[in-house]
Amino acid sequence: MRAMDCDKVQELLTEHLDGGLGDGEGRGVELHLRECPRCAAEEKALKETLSLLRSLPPEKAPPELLEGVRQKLALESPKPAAGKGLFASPRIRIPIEAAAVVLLFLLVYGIQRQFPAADRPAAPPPRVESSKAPAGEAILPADPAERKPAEPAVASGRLTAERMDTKKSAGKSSLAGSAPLPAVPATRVSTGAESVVPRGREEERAEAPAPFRVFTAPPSRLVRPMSYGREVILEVAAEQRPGLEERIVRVVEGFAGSILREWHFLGTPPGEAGGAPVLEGPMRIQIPAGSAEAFLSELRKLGTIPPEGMPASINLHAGPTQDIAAYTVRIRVR
Amino acid sequence: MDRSGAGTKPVDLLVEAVRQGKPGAFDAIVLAHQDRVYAFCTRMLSDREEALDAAQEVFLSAYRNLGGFRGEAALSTWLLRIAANQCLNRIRRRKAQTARETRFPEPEDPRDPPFQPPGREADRPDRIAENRETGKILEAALGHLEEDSRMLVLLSDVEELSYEEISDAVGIPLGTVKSKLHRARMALRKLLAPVV
Repeated sequence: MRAMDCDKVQELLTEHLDGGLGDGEGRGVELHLRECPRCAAEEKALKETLSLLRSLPPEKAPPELLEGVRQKLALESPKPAAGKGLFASPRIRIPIEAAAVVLLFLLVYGIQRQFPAADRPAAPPPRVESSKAPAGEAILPADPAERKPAEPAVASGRLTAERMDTKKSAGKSSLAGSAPLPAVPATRVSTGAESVVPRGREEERAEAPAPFRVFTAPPSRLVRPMSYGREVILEVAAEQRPGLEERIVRVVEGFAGSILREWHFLGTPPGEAGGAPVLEGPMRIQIPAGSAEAFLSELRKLGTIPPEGMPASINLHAGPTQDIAAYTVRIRVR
Repeated sequence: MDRSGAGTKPVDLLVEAVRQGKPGAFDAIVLAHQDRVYAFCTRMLSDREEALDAAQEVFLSAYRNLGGFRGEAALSTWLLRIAANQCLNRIRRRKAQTARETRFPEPEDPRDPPFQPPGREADRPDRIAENRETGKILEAALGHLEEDSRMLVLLSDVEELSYEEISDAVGIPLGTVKSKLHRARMALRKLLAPVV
C-alpha cells in the first residue's frame, strides 16, 4: 500500500479518531502516524482535545426551567399537539377562527332563508303619498322602513295588537264603503296555545292563516318612542257600541292621524264553549297637534266623554313631538 | 461508530402519553432531557440566563410540534435539533443587533487572539482533567469558534451524535458534516494549543 502524505492524513484524522475510516484508509493512516512524528503529535493533541470535550462537566438545569415551561404551557391551549401537527400550528389557528365565523354566518343565513320575508309581518302601507299631502302627514315617516316594525308588536302582558293606519289622501278615507281597515292581521306573540283572533276578524284570519313570526322581542315600553298620550274615556250606550272602533278610525283618518289598537284577551263568553274570545283594548291615537281640539269635538259626537275621562291638562303636550298629540281612547259602555 | 441515543421505547411511551393528554407526561420528558438541552444551550450561547430562556423555548416548541415527531430519530436528538436552531437564531439576532448598535467596531487583529488559555507550565495537560477550571477553559475556547463550528463540535464531541444524526439535525450533507467538523476540531485544537 502506498504511504499517505501528511496533508491527506491530517484531513482524515478526525474520521480516523471517530473510527469512521475503512480498513484500507485506516491502516494507511496508522502506518503514516507511526512514521511521522509531526502528524502523530497532531493526532495526540486532537485526541486530548476530544477527550477534554467529552469530559466536560455535566450541566444541571435550574428548577426554573421546568417551572417556566409549565407556566408558559398553562398560557397555551390545554391539549398538546391536539391537531397532531395539523391544527396545532399557530398558522392555521386564525383560519379555523375565520371558518367559525363563516359557519356562524351561514347558520344565520340559513335560518333567514328558512323563514322568508313572506312570513314576516308586512310593513304598513305608506301614509304619505305625495308632496301635496296635508301638513298633518309629516307626523309619521313616509318610508315604511323608517317605521318601527316591532312597534305593532304588543308589550308583554298584551295578547295582540293591531295597527290600523289611516291612508290619507286629502282627508279622503280609505275606509269608505265596505273596504276593510288597512291593518296587520292579529299578531300572536304569547306562548299560550290558545288561538287569539280579534273580534270580527275570524273569517279574515281563516282566509289568511299565514303565521306571524316575531323574530325580535318588542321594544321595552320604556324606550318605545310612541307616547301613549292622555287617557280619554269614551262612554257610549250599548246600542252605539257595535262598529264604534270603525267610526273612531274614520274620525282619525279625517285628521290625518294613525291608530294602534291593542287587544286584551278578556276570556270567552260564558256558556259558549269554543266561542270567540272576548277582546278589548284601548286605541292609541296620534294626530297632528293642531287638530287635537277638533278631534276631541268629533269624538264627543260619537259618545260622551265624562269629566273623569278627559283630564284637564288638555293643553299640555302629550305626543312624541311638539307637532303630534297622542291619546289613549278607552271605550266604556253605559 | 455507534452513538445511538437513549433507548427509544420508554421515550416513545412518554410521547404517546403526551399525545393522549396524560397529565405529567410532558413534565417527565422535560425532566429527562432538560440537563442535556440546557447544557447545550449554555455552551452555544455562553450565557446562562439566555440559555435558560432558550431551553424553555426548545421544550415549548417540542410541545407544540410533538404531533410531527415521528420517532425516526431519538427524542433527545430531535430536541437537540430544535435547540441548535434556537441557539443559532439567537446568535444571529444577537450579531445583527450588535452590528446595528456598534457604529465603529474595533478592528480585530488576527495576530492578537482574544482567547488566552493558561500557560503550559501552570496547567499541564495531564493535570487539566483535575483542574476545576477545565470546563471554563473549554467553554471559553468554544465561545471563540464560529457558531456553526461550535454547534458541530458540541453535537459530535459533547452530545456524541453520529455523523448521520448531525447531518439530519443540522440539515447539511454527510460529507459536509465531516469536513466542517474536521475544520472545527482543528480550530479548537489551535485555540487550546497552549494547554494540549
